Amino acid sequence: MTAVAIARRPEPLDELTLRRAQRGDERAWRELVERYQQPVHALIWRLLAGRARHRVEDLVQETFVRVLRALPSFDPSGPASLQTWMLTIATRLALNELRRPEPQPLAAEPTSTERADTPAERRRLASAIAAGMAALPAAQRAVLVLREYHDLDYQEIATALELDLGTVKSRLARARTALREHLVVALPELGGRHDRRG
Amino acid sequence: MIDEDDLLAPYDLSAWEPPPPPAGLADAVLARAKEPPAASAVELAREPRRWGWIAGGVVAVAAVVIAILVRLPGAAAPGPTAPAHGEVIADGARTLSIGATSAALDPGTEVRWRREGRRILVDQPRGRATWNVDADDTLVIDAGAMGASVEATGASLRVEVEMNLADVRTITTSGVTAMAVALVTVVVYEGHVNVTRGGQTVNVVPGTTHEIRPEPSRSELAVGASSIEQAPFDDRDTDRAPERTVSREPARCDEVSCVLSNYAGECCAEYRDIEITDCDAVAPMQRGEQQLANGDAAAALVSFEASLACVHDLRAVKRAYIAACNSRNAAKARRYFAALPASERSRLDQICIRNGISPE
Repeated sequence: MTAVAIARRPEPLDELTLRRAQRGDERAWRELVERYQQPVHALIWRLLAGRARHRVEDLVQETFVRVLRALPSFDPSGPASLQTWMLTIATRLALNELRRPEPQPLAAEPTSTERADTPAERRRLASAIAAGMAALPAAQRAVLVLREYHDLDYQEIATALELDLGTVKSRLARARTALREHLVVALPELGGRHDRRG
Repeated sequence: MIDEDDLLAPYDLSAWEPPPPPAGLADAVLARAKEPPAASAVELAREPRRWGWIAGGVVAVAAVVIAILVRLPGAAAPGPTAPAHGEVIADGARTLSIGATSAALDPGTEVRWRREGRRILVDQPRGRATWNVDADDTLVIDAGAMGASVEATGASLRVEVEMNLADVRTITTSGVTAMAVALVTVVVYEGHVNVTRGGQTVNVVPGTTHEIRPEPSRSELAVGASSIEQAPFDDRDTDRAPERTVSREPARCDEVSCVLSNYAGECCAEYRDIEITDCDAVAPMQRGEQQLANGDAAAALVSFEASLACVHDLRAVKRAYIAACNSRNAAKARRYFAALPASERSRLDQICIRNGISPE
């Protein structure tokens, strides 16, 4: 499951560029943003699954603005990696966004973003995952996305969301169960295969 | 029984794929990051109203405290006396008073200070400050971490520490790091000011300007190994570089530590003697960006390649790749695509494909 996340993890920023960024060097800032924009954008896009899509870009920008302003106080030798620290900021901003009243109803079938040449089966799977994620409570979705798509371990998730480990594990279990139940109904052929194997 | 971790195993979750980040994201972020913090577009979570009142009260108290401690932009009068030690990053023009000695800080200037009797030890790693040093005080400024110090008594002087991005030099090494070079300028208006570096002290008389430049063989960019030029060291530069100092050993003797410590210490000798080449990587990058924005991808490619010839920088590789794709230069596109990290390739391959070029 972690292959999803590992495949998307960017190379860490080198030490000198990080130091330059901490001192306000614009070129280093740009490198940092370009290096981490994909995971931060992906995280916020997924956390807002089917909701407030128009806010994704603004939240991504806001995440980086806050990252850059707080960067001088970031300790590279601390417990969180730079990426985990940024994802924490992004997660909190996204959860804040989700607490706001949403003028539009939840999208029952979030828009697929796959390219036109994506196989139909994969498009169907993407659509089912998106709908299942959108149906999860935001707190469960955050835990699941951080674990499955960004490879954060339980402790990192607990820190990011200010939860205890037990809560992280229980939310993750509930989220996985709920998503699986949704997918079994939406894609019975895949769920059935698993049950037979297990 | 299904193990909890395997609950979703039958489903390829990567199918739920986000779109790529919007183009120009970094530009937008940098523009917003330079705005005052109050201009932030996203508010924090809206908690119940009572929290708003509490937060408002806290903000009001904080504002009063800040107003007492710090004079904000435009303050004509000197600020209140600072404690015996502290640090500040000026978010606007500020006046800092350390007893009878004071400094007018430009926005963005970073200063740390510690008073030891009549001596005030200051670290000014970046920014510009005009110092007025009391006749009874001795101000010692470590500027820009260049192993140089400025000592002033009963003086008025301006110290400017700038990152000299335009003066990019290339070091032939296997390193993959890069850093900007600090250029320190000391302008003396009145009083007694000495600049000491490497055991050599220069008296800077009122009405003159003294520049502390990086030592040519120590303070330059370290870059990746794949596109490197070599040229003999230009001896004409040595008259601008004060005598070398070997005052500190870095904590470690790897290349990164040596670059950060300005190649201080004997253990950095192997990195210090690397030959360097003067060149300008920044101007052609800027020119290329402009040409790309104007739709002249072929010219932009030439510019990005000129930058790459100076410094092998990932950003320049990416821009060269994009320019090659857009100018339909398949050979160049494939060459630069191959130089991209795997994570970038999957993100950027569509640029060439849209132009009818398979980048692989």
